[in-house]
Amino acid sequence: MHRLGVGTYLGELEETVTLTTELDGGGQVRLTLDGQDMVDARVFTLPAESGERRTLQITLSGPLGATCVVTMAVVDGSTDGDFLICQAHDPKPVHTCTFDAAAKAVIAKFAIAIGAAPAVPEAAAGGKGKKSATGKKAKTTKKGGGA
Amino acid sequence: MIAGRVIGIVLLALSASPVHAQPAEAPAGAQPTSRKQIVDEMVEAGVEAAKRPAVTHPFQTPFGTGRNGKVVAYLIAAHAERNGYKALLQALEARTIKQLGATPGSGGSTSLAMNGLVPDILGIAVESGAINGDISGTTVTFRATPAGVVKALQGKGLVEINGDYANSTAARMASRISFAASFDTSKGSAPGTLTADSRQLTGWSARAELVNHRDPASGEYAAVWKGLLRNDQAYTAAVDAINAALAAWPAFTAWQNGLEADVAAGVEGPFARDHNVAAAGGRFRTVLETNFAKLEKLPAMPDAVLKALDGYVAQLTLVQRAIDGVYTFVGKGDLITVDWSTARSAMLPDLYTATGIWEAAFGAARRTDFTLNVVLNLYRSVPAGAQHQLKSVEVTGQFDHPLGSLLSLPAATLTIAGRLSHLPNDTVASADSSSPAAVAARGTIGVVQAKITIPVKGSGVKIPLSITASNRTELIKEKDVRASFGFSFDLDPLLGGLFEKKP
Repeated sequence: MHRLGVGTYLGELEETVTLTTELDGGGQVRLTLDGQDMVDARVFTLPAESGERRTLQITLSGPLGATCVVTMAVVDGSTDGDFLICQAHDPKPVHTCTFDAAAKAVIAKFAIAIGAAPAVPEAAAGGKGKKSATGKKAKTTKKGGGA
Repeated sequence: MIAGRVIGIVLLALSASPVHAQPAEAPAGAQPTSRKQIVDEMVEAGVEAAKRPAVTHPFQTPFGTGRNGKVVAYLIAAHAERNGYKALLQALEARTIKQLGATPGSGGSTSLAMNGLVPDILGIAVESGAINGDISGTTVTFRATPAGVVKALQGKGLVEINGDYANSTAARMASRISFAASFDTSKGSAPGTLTADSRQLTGWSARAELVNHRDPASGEYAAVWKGLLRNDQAYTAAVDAINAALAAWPAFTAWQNGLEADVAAGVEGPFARDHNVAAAGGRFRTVLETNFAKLEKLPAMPDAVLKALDGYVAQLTLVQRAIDGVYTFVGKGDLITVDWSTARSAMLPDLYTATGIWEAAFGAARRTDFTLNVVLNLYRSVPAGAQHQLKSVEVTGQFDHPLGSLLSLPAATLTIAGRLSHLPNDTVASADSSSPAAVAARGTIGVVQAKITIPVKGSGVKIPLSITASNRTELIKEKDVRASFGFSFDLDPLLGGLFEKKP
């Protein structure tokens, strides 16, 4: 999976995405995938069809100064992290990340174009046919459907 | 006599009413302050993110498509004239009002029982009472936690201090110790002017919190914060709507792309090379200030954006109220503190007072607060005219119950308190330089008080009105009734801004 920009990623069809959350300062986080609460699940797969998208929404609730670091893997051969903090003017922050799926050949061309590291280490590239975070086949949304 | 007292109370109520009217007016310059605070918060968010190695592009996390909460807040501040926007900003920026004031033993105090919490940086309270001559002078109390003062002097603002308290056990423990000094401005070389010299110093105190269940970051309130994540579809829908509306506004997306490019080139790039968080924070601030100036010059917002923004304001207002509710609930958790104070007198030895304070709240919603004080008074040495250092033992109980809002007035709090003070021996009462110490006969003194405290929303000001009756005073074995009022100020919001440091 490659990072395209702030909160936007491009990965292979049915690629596995692993999340971690690290809370501090008394906050509580909720992750929703395509509108479904992930509860405690932290793994999901990208859509099976090229051009489709999955949308992850991260909401933090807590006192002033509560923080949450959300890491996503594997991104450009490593991880990418997002950061949320409860502040006076943004007391319940909501971050939305989008994950677009594309064919392997397209991903390879993209990686060469941007000189990126391999999106997925070979050992970790076995996400085909996996279930979604909620244990069901993931619902997908068309690209452009998110905010 | 009674009629005179009643008239006095009415006059006091009338004199307090103009202060009531103040919260209806927005503080001057509220909008620019909000915008500056939002930039400060974005810089803080970037700097905090930069301290986490897992966050690879820390200064791009506080803004961008799908994470525009702070930029939207800026748009709200820039359009504060719209219905509901200013009220939301004031609610977002309001600080928790904490009880300040002189300890009950100081002249001029309107408090019968003492509460345990203190402000984080510095508190000043001026309370006056002079209805029937029992109370004279004006007492000014400064109270601070050393940890908070040190952090303020380090240039940390209130948000950073709160963050440190939330994230550091050591900082939280240090914040549990506080010191206070009271000055009588009627004394000294310039009566009526606070000189804060030794002649005006009337007392000092040290306080430690032994048990504090009022930390909103405590794990015991995890379920409460998690509860705010349930049934919030309307809020997240409003977030999605404003994000979508902004994404469909070409002028905004061009502005956002420019900001992203500036941050990538001018902040993230240099930070990736030098890993200097403070320098990156400074560069981020400059980029934000430059780009927000451009944001304000964009063409008028399209109707779709305005509509989405109105919807977001409505939902964020509800979220803020829910958060305020959590803070109110947390603020009534159990609290046990011990306080040691010294009251100075020109005519008597210093009077030491040791106080144990227990605060709790009743009911699932913790609406009724209960405070219990157990107090031991003893003189530093045996005063002339007495046989013992021990002066008295006191037990005070106090109930506080919110009355709710009446018309458009802010919600007031009703307080009912009682105190039993036992003097085991004939002793001497407090005295001032104008009159010598008088004998206080042994016996038991009962005092009851009813008080209404009216907060001035968003200003850190409270107006207490009280009436107190007792079976006797220390000096006179006759019934006594008096009334008093005062003003209490919390300077945290002001000083937090004064000491704020730009990274």
